[in-house]
Amino acid sequence: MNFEYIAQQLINGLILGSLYALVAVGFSMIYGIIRLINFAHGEIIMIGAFTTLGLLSTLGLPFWLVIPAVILVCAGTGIIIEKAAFRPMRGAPQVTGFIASLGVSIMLQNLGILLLTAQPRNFSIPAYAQKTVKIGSVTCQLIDIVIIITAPLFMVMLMVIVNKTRLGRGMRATAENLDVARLMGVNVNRTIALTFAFGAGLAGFAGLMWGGKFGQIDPLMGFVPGLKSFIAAVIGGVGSIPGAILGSYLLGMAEIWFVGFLPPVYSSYRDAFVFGLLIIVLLILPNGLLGKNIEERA
Amino acid sequence: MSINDSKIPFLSVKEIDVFRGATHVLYNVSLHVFQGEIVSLIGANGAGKSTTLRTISGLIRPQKGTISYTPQNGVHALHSLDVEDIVKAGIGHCPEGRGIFSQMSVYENLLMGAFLRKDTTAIAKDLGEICEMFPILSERADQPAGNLSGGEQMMLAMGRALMGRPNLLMLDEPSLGLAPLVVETIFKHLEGINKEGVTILLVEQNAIMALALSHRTYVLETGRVVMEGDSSDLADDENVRKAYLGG
Repeated sequence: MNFEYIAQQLINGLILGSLYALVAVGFSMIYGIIRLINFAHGEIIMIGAFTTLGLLSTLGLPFWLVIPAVILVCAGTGIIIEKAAFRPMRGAPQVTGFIASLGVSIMLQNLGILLLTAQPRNFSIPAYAQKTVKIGSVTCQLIDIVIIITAPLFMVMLMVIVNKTRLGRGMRATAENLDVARLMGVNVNRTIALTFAFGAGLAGFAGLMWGGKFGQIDPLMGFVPGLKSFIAAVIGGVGSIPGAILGSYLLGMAEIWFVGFLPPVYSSYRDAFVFGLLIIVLLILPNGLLGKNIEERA
Repeated sequence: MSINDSKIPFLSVKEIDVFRGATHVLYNVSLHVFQGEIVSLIGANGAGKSTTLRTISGLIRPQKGTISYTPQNGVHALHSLDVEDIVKAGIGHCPEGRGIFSQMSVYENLLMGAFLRKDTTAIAKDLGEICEMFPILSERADQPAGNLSGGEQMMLAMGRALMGRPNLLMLDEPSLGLAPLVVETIFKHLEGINKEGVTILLVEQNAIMALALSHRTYVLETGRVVMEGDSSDLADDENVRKAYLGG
């Protein structure tokens, strides 16, 4: 084990952590604002990946245009999902929304299989994004660097919006007390829809990068990364955006190191390790690393 | 001692029936408030006082009846408006339990009160005035509002409601859970706010304080208005004394 190998694993951990973070913040924001554990959120990764494939290969749009287009398509999908599936059951018990989100998740997966077949497809991003770059003695692809840099940029943008803008104040007010937010004049339906849009836009971008990084996509691809991002959000303290980011990078790094630094026989236990880590963290910190004890609303 | 003799009330609630789920909460409730008045709504727990305010604010829709609000610039049929538009029309609602955003700073809470306003310079000016009225708020501007004491939170809730520049301010049990001395301060402020031209509709369980402050009073019992009149008359009324004033 030499320096290059360790640096390589560090980069891989950052990449995986970045991808988780892009998805996990959406989980956390949506939970924060309407106390919904949205299992359909992972499917947005799949939708983002297939939208990329369609726009890039089928329509032949340039890559720089595909990125914002995918984010917009996924943001729109998030808004539609919220309107169709979750708004009608606003005020229902938490478990109802949870079940509904599982339903939406299964429906989207099957819709994907129906329209696109279950056959995995090769996902090729333009050659220049796959070009290898040498940083010192470590080699990586251009897309790796793009992921590592853009994910934190998106996170910072999101935090600025949530913490410094009027829209963000409206979001936080809605999260704390929906009725009082309405009494302040906040249009809570629009605010909640926008929260879904932000979350889904970022998850869609993660899907684009996921396909670009791993080269193959299929209609069920969103489920496991979605689940792991959810775990990352829980480890960080669900409802907290910084928590979701921290949890994601920790989980991504731990997962890569588990595979990279233990004997290869253990690498197939990678998912078991992730869930084990979740259990251990929750045993010690039931609210996650940065979570506040949010009381459940009746 | 109605201070306003104009025939059209500022706020007029007419024969509303309100349900919460399957429960019938308000039966044919009517009340009106003239501009410049302080009107109080008293009654026992569960009489429907909060529901009345929540219906005026648009949080709940009446099954039957109308609510009209008539400021200088025309008539608003509140029973068919969205909450957002009711706020815009100039109605402020300081909710039961104060409804402070405890994880946001005191300053952000005040800004939330001005959520629909775009006039930045006037907002800054109003912020200054409210901090003058409640100096504790400017001292603690950057702290999470959840750190404030109950009385301070009530001042924040009032300040926040005033940041919306309401013509009509509705308060839901401002005395709830506060020490008598603090309650007195709050009520003094309410009197001052009213003198500045803000019409007030006050819901209170503390009937003594409410009757002393307000011009007129409605008594609500199990969802019905059972008595109404000048507060000074009601304070002398035998039945009111027995039921609400402890003798």
